[in-house]
Amino acid sequence: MGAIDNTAGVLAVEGGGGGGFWEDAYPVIPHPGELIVGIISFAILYVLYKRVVVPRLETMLAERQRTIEGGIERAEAMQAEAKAALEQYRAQLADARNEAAQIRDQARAEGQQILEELRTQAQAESARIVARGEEQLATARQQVVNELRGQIGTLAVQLAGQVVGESLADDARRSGTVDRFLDELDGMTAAGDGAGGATRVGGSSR
Amino acid sequence: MTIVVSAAEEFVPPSAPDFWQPLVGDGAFAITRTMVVMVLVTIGLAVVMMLATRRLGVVPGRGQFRLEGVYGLVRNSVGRDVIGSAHFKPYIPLLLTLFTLILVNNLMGIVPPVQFPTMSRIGFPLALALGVYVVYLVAGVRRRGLVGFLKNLVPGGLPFWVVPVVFVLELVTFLVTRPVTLTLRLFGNMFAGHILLLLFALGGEYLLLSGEGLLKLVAIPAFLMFFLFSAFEILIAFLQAYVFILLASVYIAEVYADEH
Amino acid sequence: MTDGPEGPSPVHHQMVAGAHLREGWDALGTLLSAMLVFGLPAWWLSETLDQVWVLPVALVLGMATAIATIWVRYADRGP
Repeated sequence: MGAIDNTAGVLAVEGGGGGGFWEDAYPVIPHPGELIVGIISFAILYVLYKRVVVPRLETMLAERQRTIEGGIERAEAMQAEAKAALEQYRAQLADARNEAAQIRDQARAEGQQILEELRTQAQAESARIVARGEEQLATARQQVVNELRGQIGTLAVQLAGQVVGESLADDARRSGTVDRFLDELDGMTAAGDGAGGATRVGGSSR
Repeated sequence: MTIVVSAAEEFVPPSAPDFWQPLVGDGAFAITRTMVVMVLVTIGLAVVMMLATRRLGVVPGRGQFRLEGVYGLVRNSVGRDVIGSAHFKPYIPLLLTLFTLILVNNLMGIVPPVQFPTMSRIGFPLALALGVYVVYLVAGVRRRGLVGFLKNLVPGGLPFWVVPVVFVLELVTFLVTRPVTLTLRLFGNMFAGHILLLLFALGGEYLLLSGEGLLKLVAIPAFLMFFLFSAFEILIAFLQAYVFILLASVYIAEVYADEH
Repeated sequence: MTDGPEGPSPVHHQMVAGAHLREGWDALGTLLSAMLVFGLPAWWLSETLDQVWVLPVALVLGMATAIATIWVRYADRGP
């Protein structure tokens, strides 16, 4: 309690109210010395703050603001970069997809073509085989017919000779009669269901 | 508030002469106790602020964090918000000087080795108020010129019979009322606060030493009140520093407030 | 601690900053100025005339003038 001690001391020294003008003056009258000291102190501190302290603080604040803004910019740049990379990746993916689809289409078309070729080839082969079969069949038939013609003629002549006797022994007449008979027979088959077969045999043999 | 005690020595309540404490010499230019306090506070503030701002980091340390708290209060909550973000920058040093000087000097009213508020001597608040006075008058005249400044005292669109009255009252407000109230508010608060503390302390002491019987016990609540009001004075110290710069900002803001 | 344009200010700012704060202190200043303007001459007058009533009458007049002035000055004069 320095104030109280000091007050008491001062009061003791002054003798309790025997002081000069300034002791008894109204407290609202400024003491010139104190006013001057106040102004000087104020001015010194003001100049110091204006020249040094506040500029230092403002510089720091500006730097802080810059740092914050720089950080934001960096983050934005990184985001943009990431976005670009994503875009690129998507584009690549789309390209790859397109390419794959193309390859697939191409492969499908090629397969189709090969299939077509194989099919025509097989058809041709089968046609060829069928044709050869029919040819062989026709040849065999012709052979059979020729053979049969001979045998039937002989048989018929024998049969007729036996039936008629020896009237038909004459070769010339015999062969003419047989041929005529067989021609009639042929004509009968041609008019009936044997006509188609005969035509086809003729076509394929050509 | 006189305490009547039937004792040989009469109790003398604290009064204005208690604030006159010359250390060296006497008269108008005597070196008083408050002068020494003021000079010491100024030197201390200068040293502390220089050291505190020597190495400022973008990421504040603990000391810098506190410094920035004070600086932010003065700069943003008062300077920027009252004067406006367009014009407040040049006035930061003034406001910071006023705030720190008043706050520390006020706190000196309760800090034990000093325990005497500098601002209870009217010379010091007057010095600070004169600083504000010069700043806002110069800023006003510089912004509008002397004629424009005088014209701007009266807002447009008033009935003609009010104009002279408003002009006189505004002029007196600008030239007299503002600096005087600025000074008296700070001075009065610190003066009254210190008188109150002195009353409790001296009264308690007197009761303890010269009181008879049970009256000695009354010293206990007196000392309790002393401590209570000492704590209260911390609040007052801060509040007065804040109000001082708030009003200084309001007066400066007036210079820039033309569109309303 | 940025200096960007202020958005809608919170209640504290509206009370402490803003035009209302200034108008409040202006009104108070006007009241005190009126007391000074009317009080000082009246005090001098009452001293020279040795009439006690001059000062209180002048102070009441000053107060009335100040209130009237504030009324006229800050009244919403409509559109």
